[in-house]
Amino acid sequence: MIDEDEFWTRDDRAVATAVLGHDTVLFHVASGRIHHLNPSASQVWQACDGTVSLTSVIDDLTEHYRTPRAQVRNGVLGIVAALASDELLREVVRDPH
Amino acid sequence: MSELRPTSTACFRALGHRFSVHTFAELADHLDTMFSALGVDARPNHRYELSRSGGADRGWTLTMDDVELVRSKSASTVFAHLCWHVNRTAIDGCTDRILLHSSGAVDAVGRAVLLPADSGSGKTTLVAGLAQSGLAYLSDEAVGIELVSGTLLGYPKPLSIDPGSWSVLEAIRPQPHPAVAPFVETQWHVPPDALGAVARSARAAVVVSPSYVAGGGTNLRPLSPAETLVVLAENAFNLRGFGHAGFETLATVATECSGYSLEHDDLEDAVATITALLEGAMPE
Repeated sequence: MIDEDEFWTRDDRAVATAVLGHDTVLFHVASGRIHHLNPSASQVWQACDGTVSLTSVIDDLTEHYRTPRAQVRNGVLGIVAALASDELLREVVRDPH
Repeated sequence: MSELRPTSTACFRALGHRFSVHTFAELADHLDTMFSALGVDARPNHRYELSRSGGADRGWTLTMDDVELVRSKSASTVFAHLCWHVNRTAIDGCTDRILLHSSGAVDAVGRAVLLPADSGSGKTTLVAGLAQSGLAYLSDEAVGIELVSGTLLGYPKPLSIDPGSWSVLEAIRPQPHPAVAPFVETQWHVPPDALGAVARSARAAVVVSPSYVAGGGTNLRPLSPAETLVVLAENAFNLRGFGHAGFETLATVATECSGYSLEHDDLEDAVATITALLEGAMPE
Protein backbone atom coordinates (compact mmCIF):
# COMPACT_ATOMS: atom_id res chain seq x y z
CA MET A 1 0.00 0.00 0.00
CA ILE A 2 1.49 3.31 -1.09
CA ASP A 3 0.75 6.48 0.92
CA GLU A 4 0.87 9.87 -0.65
CA ASP A 5 3.15 11.31 2.02
CA GLU A 6 5.90 8.93 0.98
CA PHE A 7 8.96 9.88 -1.08
CA TRP A 8 9.91 7.65 -4.01
CA THR A 9 12.86 7.76 -6.34
CA ARG A 10 14.02 6.24 -9.58
CA ASP A 11 16.79 3.69 -9.30
CA ASP A 12 19.00 5.17 -11.98
CA ARG A 13 21.78 2.63 -11.47
CA ALA A 14 19.47 -0.31 -11.97
CA VAL A 15 17.29 1.20 -14.67
CA ALA A 16 18.29 2.73 -18.00
CA THR A 17 15.86 5.36 -19.26
CA ALA A 18 15.08 6.66 -22.75
CA VAL A 19 12.65 9.54 -23.14
CA LEU A 20 11.22 9.50 -26.66
CA GLY A 21 8.63 12.17 -27.30
CA HIS A 22 6.08 12.02 -24.49
CA ASP A 23 6.77 8.33 -23.82
CA THR A 24 9.51 6.74 -21.76
CA VAL A 25 11.09 3.33 -22.21
CA LEU A 26 12.82 1.71 -19.25
CA PHE A 27 15.30 -1.14 -19.22
CA HIS A 28 15.79 -2.94 -15.92
CA VAL A 29 19.33 -4.10 -16.46
CA ALA A 30 19.46 -6.95 -13.97
CA SER A 31 16.27 -8.65 -15.15
CA GLY A 32 16.40 -7.57 -18.80
CA ARG A 33 12.77 -6.45 -18.64
CA ILE A 34 11.57 -3.61 -20.88
CA HIS A 35 8.80 -1.23 -19.80
CA HIS A 36 7.00 1.27 -22.02
CA LEU A 37 5.50 4.17 -20.07
CA ASN A 38 2.70 6.24 -21.61
CA PRO A 39 2.78 10.03 -21.21
CA SER A 40 0.99 9.99 -17.84
CA ALA A 41 3.24 7.32 -16.37
CA SER A 42 6.25 9.13 -17.84
CA GLN A 43 5.34 12.28 -15.91
CA VAL A 44 5.11 10.33 -12.67
CA TRP A 45 8.42 8.64 -13.43
CA GLN A 46 10.14 11.96 -14.07
CA ALA A 47 8.65 13.52 -10.93
CA CYS A 48 9.83 10.74 -8.62
CA ASP A 49 13.34 12.02 -7.96
CA GLY A 50 13.29 11.39 -4.21
CA THR A 51 13.19 15.07 -3.25
CA VAL A 52 9.42 15.57 -3.18
CA SER A 53 6.58 13.60 -1.64
CA LEU A 54 3.86 11.98 -3.71
CA THR A 55 1.53 14.61 -2.26
CA SER A 56 3.54 17.22 -4.12
CA VAL A 57 3.53 15.14 -7.31
CA ILE A 58 -0.25 14.71 -7.09
CA ASP A 59 -0.76 18.42 -6.43
CA ASP A 60 1.41 19.44 -9.38
CA LEU A 61 -0.39 17.06 -11.78
CA THR A 62 -3.79 18.10 -10.45
CA GLU A 63 -2.98 21.71 -11.26
CA HIS A 64 -1.44 20.82 -14.62
CA TYR A 65 -4.39 18.75 -15.84
CA ARG A 66 -7.13 20.65 -13.97
CA THR A 67 -8.56 17.28 -13.02
CA PRO A 68 -10.19 16.29 -9.69
CA ARG A 69 -7.44 15.57 -7.18
CA ALA A 70 -8.89 12.22 -6.13
CA GLN A 71 -8.70 11.01 -9.71
CA VAL A 72 -5.07 12.11 -10.08
CA ARG A 73 -4.22 10.62 -6.68
CA ASN A 74 -5.60 7.22 -7.67
CA GLY A 75 -3.65 7.34 -10.92
CA VAL A 76 -0.34 8.38 -9.36
CA LEU A 77 -0.50 5.87 -6.51
CA GLY A 78 -1.39 3.12 -8.97
CA ILE A 79 1.50 3.99 -11.25
CA VAL A 80 3.96 4.18 -8.35
CA ALA A 81 2.74 0.83 -7.04
CA ALA A 82 3.19 -0.78 -10.47
CA LEU A 83 6.66 0.71 -10.95
CA ALA A 84 7.66 -0.29 -7.42
CA SER A 85 6.50 -3.87 -7.89
CA ASP A 86 8.74 -4.07 -10.97
CA GLU A 87 11.65 -2.70 -8.89
CA LEU A 88 11.89 0.43 -10.99
CA LEU A 89 11.13 2.85 -8.14
CA ARG A 90 12.23 2.55 -4.54
CA GLU A 91 10.98 4.34 -1.47
CA VAL A 92 13.24 6.92 0.13
CA VAL A 93 13.46 6.19 3.83
CA ARG A 94 13.58 9.56 5.52
CA ASP A 95 15.20 10.32 8.82
CA PRO A 96 12.35 11.24 11.20
CA HIS A 97 14.65 13.80 12.85
CA MET B 1 27.24 -43.39 -51.15
CA SER B 2 29.11 -46.63 -51.41
CA GLU B 3 32.37 -45.11 -50.24
CA LEU B 4 32.86 -42.22 -47.86
CA ARG B 5 36.07 -40.30 -48.37
CA PRO B 6 36.61 -38.20 -45.25
CA THR B 7 37.87 -34.67 -45.55
CA SER B 8 37.59 -31.35 -43.76
CA THR B 9 35.94 -28.14 -44.76
CA ALA B 10 37.56 -24.75 -44.70
CA CYS B 11 37.54 -22.77 -41.47
CA PHE B 12 34.42 -20.67 -40.92
CA ARG B 13 33.71 -17.94 -38.41
CA ALA B 14 30.12 -17.56 -37.27
CA LEU B 15 30.40 -14.37 -35.18
CA GLY B 16 33.15 -15.50 -32.76
CA HIS B 17 32.66 -19.25 -33.30
CA ARG B 18 35.50 -20.57 -35.50
CA PHE B 19 34.92 -24.08 -36.69
CA SER B 20 35.48 -26.66 -39.38
CA VAL B 21 33.59 -29.84 -40.19
CA HIS B 22 35.16 -33.21 -40.86
CA THR B 23 32.90 -35.40 -42.96
CA PHE B 24 32.68 -37.18 -46.31
CA ALA B 25 33.85 -35.26 -49.35
CA GLU B 26 30.52 -34.48 -51.01
CA LEU B 27 29.05 -33.11 -47.79
CA ALA B 28 32.24 -31.14 -47.06
CA ASP B 29 31.96 -29.55 -50.51
CA HIS B 30 28.32 -28.72 -49.78
CA LEU B 31 29.27 -27.10 -46.46
CA ASP B 32 32.10 -25.15 -48.07
CA THR B 33 29.57 -23.65 -50.47
CA MET B 34 26.89 -23.17 -47.84
CA PHE B 35 29.16 -21.35 -45.37
CA SER B 36 31.32 -19.61 -47.97
CA ALA B 37 30.38 -16.12 -46.73
CA LEU B 38 31.71 -17.07 -43.29
CA GLY B 39 35.04 -18.43 -44.55
CA VAL B 40 38.19 -17.15 -42.85
CA ASP B 41 41.89 -17.79 -43.27
CA ALA B 42 42.46 -18.96 -39.71
CA ARG B 43 42.66 -22.06 -37.59
CA PRO B 44 39.36 -23.36 -36.22
CA ASN B 45 38.78 -23.39 -32.46
CA HIS B 46 36.29 -26.22 -32.77
CA ARG B 47 36.05 -29.25 -34.99
CA TYR B 48 32.76 -30.91 -35.78
CA GLU B 49 32.69 -34.41 -37.19
CA LEU B 50 29.67 -35.82 -38.97
CA SER B 51 30.15 -39.50 -39.70
CA ARG B 52 28.51 -42.89 -39.86
CA SER B 53 27.54 -44.25 -36.46
CA GLY B 54 29.13 -47.44 -35.32
CA GLY B 55 27.01 -50.50 -34.55
CA ALA B 56 24.08 -51.94 -36.40
CA ASP B 57 21.85 -48.90 -36.81
CA ARG B 58 23.97 -47.39 -39.61
CA GLY B 59 22.80 -43.94 -38.70
CA TRP B 60 24.81 -40.75 -38.34
CA THR B 61 26.67 -39.17 -35.45
CA LEU B 62 27.66 -35.55 -34.93
CA THR B 63 30.42 -34.62 -32.51
CA MET B 64 32.17 -31.39 -31.61
CA ASP B 65 35.70 -31.67 -30.23
CA ASP B 66 35.07 -35.42 -29.87
CA VAL B 67 32.00 -34.90 -27.67
CA GLU B 68 28.85 -36.47 -29.12
CA LEU B 69 26.10 -33.93 -29.82
CA VAL B 70 23.51 -36.10 -31.55
CA ARG B 71 23.09 -39.53 -33.09
CA SER B 72 20.21 -40.47 -35.39
CA LYS B 73 19.19 -42.72 -38.24
CA SER B 74 17.94 -39.59 -39.97
CA ALA B 75 20.64 -37.75 -41.90
CA SER B 76 18.50 -34.61 -42.03
CA THR B 77 18.07 -34.61 -38.25
CA VAL B 78 21.82 -34.72 -37.71
CA PHE B 79 22.49 -32.07 -40.33
CA ALA B 80 19.80 -29.77 -38.89
CA HIS B 81 21.42 -30.18 -35.50
CA LEU B 82 24.80 -29.19 -36.93
CA CYS B 83 23.29 -25.99 -38.39
CA TRP B 84 21.42 -25.25 -35.17
CA HIS B 85 24.49 -25.88 -33.02
CA VAL B 86 26.73 -23.63 -35.10
CA ASN B 87 24.21 -20.82 -34.92
CA ARG B 88 23.39 -21.30 -31.24
CA THR B 89 27.06 -21.38 -30.25
CA ALA B 90 27.74 -18.27 -32.32
CA ILE B 91 24.88 -16.33 -30.74
CA ASP B 92 25.46 -17.50 -27.18
CA GLY B 93 29.14 -16.61 -27.38
CA CYS B 94 28.68 -13.17 -28.89
CA THR B 95 29.87 -10.44 -26.50
CA ASP B 96 31.49 -7.86 -28.78
CA ARG B 97 28.26 -6.38 -30.17
CA ILE B 98 24.60 -6.06 -29.31
CA LEU B 99 22.95 -8.88 -31.18
CA LEU B 100 19.38 -8.59 -32.43
CA HIS B 101 17.10 -11.47 -33.32
CA SER B 102 16.53 -9.94 -36.72
CA SER B 103 17.06 -10.36 -40.39
CA GLY B 104 18.31 -7.44 -42.42
CA ALA B 105 19.09 -6.16 -45.90
CA VAL B 106 20.76 -3.09 -47.37
CA ASP B 107 19.84 -1.03 -50.43
CA ALA B 108 22.20 0.32 -53.08
CA VAL B 109 22.86 3.56 -51.19
CA GLY B 110 23.63 1.88 -47.88
CA ARG B 111 20.26 2.18 -46.10
CA ALA B 112 19.41 -0.92 -44.10
CA VAL B 113 16.10 -2.39 -43.11
CA LEU B 114 16.02 -4.39 -39.90
CA LEU B 115 13.34 -7.06 -39.50
CA PRO B 116 13.36 -7.96 -35.79
CA ALA B 117 10.90 -10.62 -34.71
CA ASP B 118 10.40 -14.02 -33.15
CA SER B 119 10.84 -17.24 -35.07
CA GLY B 120 7.94 -18.00 -37.40
CA SER B 121 7.28 -14.38 -38.31
CA GLY B 122 8.70 -14.64 -41.81
CA LYS B 123 12.07 -12.96 -41.24
CA THR B 124 13.99 -15.37 -43.44
CA THR B 125 11.42 -15.45 -46.24
CA LEU B 126 11.23 -11.65 -46.32
CA VAL B 127 14.97 -11.16 -46.42
CA ALA B 128 15.25 -13.79 -49.17
CA GLY B 129 12.65 -11.85 -51.15
CA LEU B 130 14.44 -8.56 -50.51
CA ALA B 131 17.75 -10.09 -51.61
CA GLN B 132 16.11 -11.43 -54.76
CA SER B 133 14.85 -7.91 -55.47
CA GLY B 134 18.39 -6.56 -55.41
CA LEU B 135 19.13 -5.66 -51.80
CA ALA B 136 22.32 -6.91 -50.16
CA TYR B 137 21.98 -9.53 -47.46
CA LEU B 138 22.95 -8.78 -43.84
CA SER B 139 21.51 -11.83 -42.08
CA ASP B 140 18.40 -13.95 -41.78
CA GLU B 141 18.75 -14.49 -38.04
CA ALA B 142 21.02 -12.14 -36.10
CA VAL B 143 22.23 -8.63 -36.86
CA GLY B 144 24.92 -7.02 -34.72
CA ILE B 145 24.85 -3.42 -33.54
CA GLU B 146 28.14 -1.81 -32.64
CA LEU B 147 28.06 -0.21 -29.21
CA VAL B 148 27.83 3.60 -29.24
CA SER B 149 28.11 4.08 -33.03
CA GLY B 150 24.99 2.03 -33.74
CA THR B 151 26.53 0.65 -36.94
CA LEU B 152 24.88 -2.57 -38.07
CA LEU B 153 27.18 -5.57 -38.48
CA GLY B 154 26.16 -8.44 -40.72
CA TYR B 155 26.18 -12.12 -39.92
CA PRO B 156 25.99 -13.71 -43.37
CA LYS B 157 24.99 -17.21 -42.36
CA PRO B 158 23.22 -19.41 -44.90
CA LEU B 159 19.51 -18.73 -45.11
CA SER B 160 17.60 -21.51 -43.37
CA ILE B 161 14.36 -21.86 -45.30
CA ASP B 162 11.56 -24.06 -44.02
CA PRO B 163 9.20 -26.01 -46.32
CA GLY B 164 6.36 -23.51 -45.81
CA SER B 165 8.29 -20.95 -47.87
CA TRP B 166 9.64 -23.23 -50.58
CA SER B 167 6.83 -22.53 -53.04
CA VAL B 168 7.48 -18.77 -53.06
CA LEU B 169 11.25 -19.14 -53.21
CA GLU B 170 11.47 -21.82 -55.89
CA ALA B 171 14.05 -19.78 -57.81
CA ILE B 172 16.66 -20.31 -55.09
CA ARG B 173 16.00 -24.02 -54.49
CA PRO B 174 19.40 -25.64 -53.80
CA GLN B 175 20.56 -28.46 -56.07
CA PRO B 176 22.55 -30.69 -53.75
CA HIS B 177 24.73 -33.60 -54.82
CA PRO B 178 22.69 -36.85 -54.64
CA ALA B 179 24.87 -38.04 -51.75
CA VAL B 180 23.97 -34.87 -49.83
CA ALA B 181 20.24 -34.79 -50.63
CA PRO B 182 19.15 -36.90 -47.61
CA PHE B 183 20.81 -34.38 -45.29
CA VAL B 184 18.93 -31.36 -46.58
CA GLU B 185 15.50 -32.75 -47.37
CA THR B 186 13.73 -30.98 -44.47
CA GLN B 187 15.25 -27.50 -44.76
CA TRP B 188 17.01 -25.51 -47.44
CA HIS B 189 20.31 -23.89 -46.53
CA VAL B 190 20.96 -21.25 -49.15
CA PRO B 191 24.37 -19.57 -49.32
CA PRO B 192 23.84 -15.80 -49.30
CA ASP B 193 26.03 -15.20 -52.32
CA ALA B 194 23.56 -17.33 -54.32
CA LEU B 195 21.11 -14.46 -53.86
CA GLY B 196 23.43 -11.59 -54.73
CA ALA B 197 25.53 -9.18 -52.73
CA VAL B 198 26.40 -9.57 -49.05
CA ALA B 199 26.67 -6.47 -46.83
CA ARG B 200 29.09 -6.49 -43.91
CA SER B 201 27.96 -3.24 -42.29
CA ALA B 202 25.38 -0.48 -42.77
CA ARG B 203 23.30 2.15 -41.00
CA ALA B 204 19.74 1.31 -40.08
CA ALA B 205 17.13 3.45 -41.84
CA VAL B 206 13.94 1.44 -41.33
CA VAL B 207 12.83 -1.04 -38.66
CA VAL B 208 9.98 -3.32 -39.67
CA SER B 209 8.62 -5.81 -37.16
CA PRO B 210 7.02 -8.51 -39.31
CA SER B 211 4.38 -11.08 -38.50
CA TYR B 212 3.03 -13.64 -40.91
CA VAL B 213 -0.79 -13.79 -40.79
CA ALA B 214 -2.25 -16.22 -43.32
CA GLY B 215 -5.13 -14.62 -45.18
CA GLY B 216 -4.56 -11.28 -43.47
CA GLY B 217 -3.18 -9.35 -46.42
CA THR B 218 -0.47 -6.72 -46.07
CA ASN B 219 -1.04 -4.31 -43.21
CA LEU B 220 1.51 -1.69 -42.28
CA ARG B 221 1.31 0.33 -39.07
CA PRO B 222 3.76 3.07 -38.11
CA LEU B 223 5.45 2.69 -34.74
CA SER B 224 6.42 5.58 -32.48
CA PRO B 225 10.11 5.87 -31.61
CA ALA B 226 9.32 4.43 -28.19
CA GLU B 227 7.51 1.44 -29.73
CA THR B 228 10.45 0.98 -32.12
CA LEU B 229 12.87 0.96 -29.19
CA VAL B 230 10.74 -1.63 -27.40
CA VAL B 231 10.81 -3.86 -30.49
CA LEU B 232 14.59 -3.56 -30.74
CA ALA B 233 15.22 -4.11 -27.03
CA GLU B 234 12.84 -7.07 -26.75
CA ASN B 235 14.57 -8.75 -29.68
CA ALA B 236 18.11 -8.27 -28.38
CA PHE B 237 19.78 -11.54 -27.41
CA ASN B 238 22.41 -10.05 -25.13
CA LEU B 239 21.36 -6.54 -24.09
CA ARG B 240 21.87 -7.18 -20.38
CA GLY B 241 25.58 -7.60 -20.97
CA PHE B 242 25.84 -4.05 -22.29
CA GLY B 243 23.76 -2.34 -19.58
CA HIS B 244 22.95 1.34 -19.89
CA ALA B 245 25.31 1.92 -22.82
CA GLY B 246 23.65 -0.83 -24.85
CA PHE B 247 20.18 0.51 -24.20
CA GLU B 248 21.28 4.03 -25.13
CA THR B 249 22.73 2.68 -28.37
CA LEU B 250 19.40 1.05 -29.24
CA ALA B 251 17.58 4.28 -28.34
CA THR B 252 19.80 6.15 -30.78
CA VAL B 253 19.04 3.62 -33.53
CA ALA B 254 15.31 3.87 -32.77
CA THR B 255 15.33 7.65 -33.07
CA GLU B 256 17.30 7.57 -36.33
CA CYS B 257 14.94 5.08 -37.99
CA SER B 258 11.35 4.93 -39.09
CA GLY B 259 9.60 2.07 -37.34
CA TYR B 260 6.69 -0.06 -38.50
CA SER B 261 4.87 -3.27 -37.77
CA LEU B 262 3.96 -5.30 -40.82
CA GLU B 263 1.40 -8.10 -41.07
CA HIS B 264 1.97 -9.96 -44.29
CA ASP B 265 0.88 -13.03 -46.16
CA ASP B 266 2.17 -12.29 -49.66
CA LEU B 267 5.91 -12.10 -50.26
CA GLU B 268 5.73 -9.89 -53.35
CA ASP B 269 3.48 -7.33 -51.63
CA ALA B 270 5.60 -7.32 -48.49
CA VAL B 271 8.84 -6.85 -50.44
CA ALA B 272 7.29 -3.97 -52.41
CA THR B 273 6.09 -2.37 -49.18
CA ILE B 274 9.47 -2.60 -47.48
CA THR B 275 11.32 -1.40 -50.57
CA ALA B 276 9.05 1.64 -50.74
CA LEU B 277 9.74 2.40 -47.08
CA LEU B 278 13.47 2.28 -47.72
CA GLU B 279 13.15 4.54 -50.77
CA GLY B 280 11.30 7.06 -48.61
CA ALA B 281 13.94 6.94 -45.89
CA MET B 282 16.59 9.60 -45.55
CA PRO B 283 19.61 8.96 -47.78
CA GLU B 284 22.62 7.57 -45.98
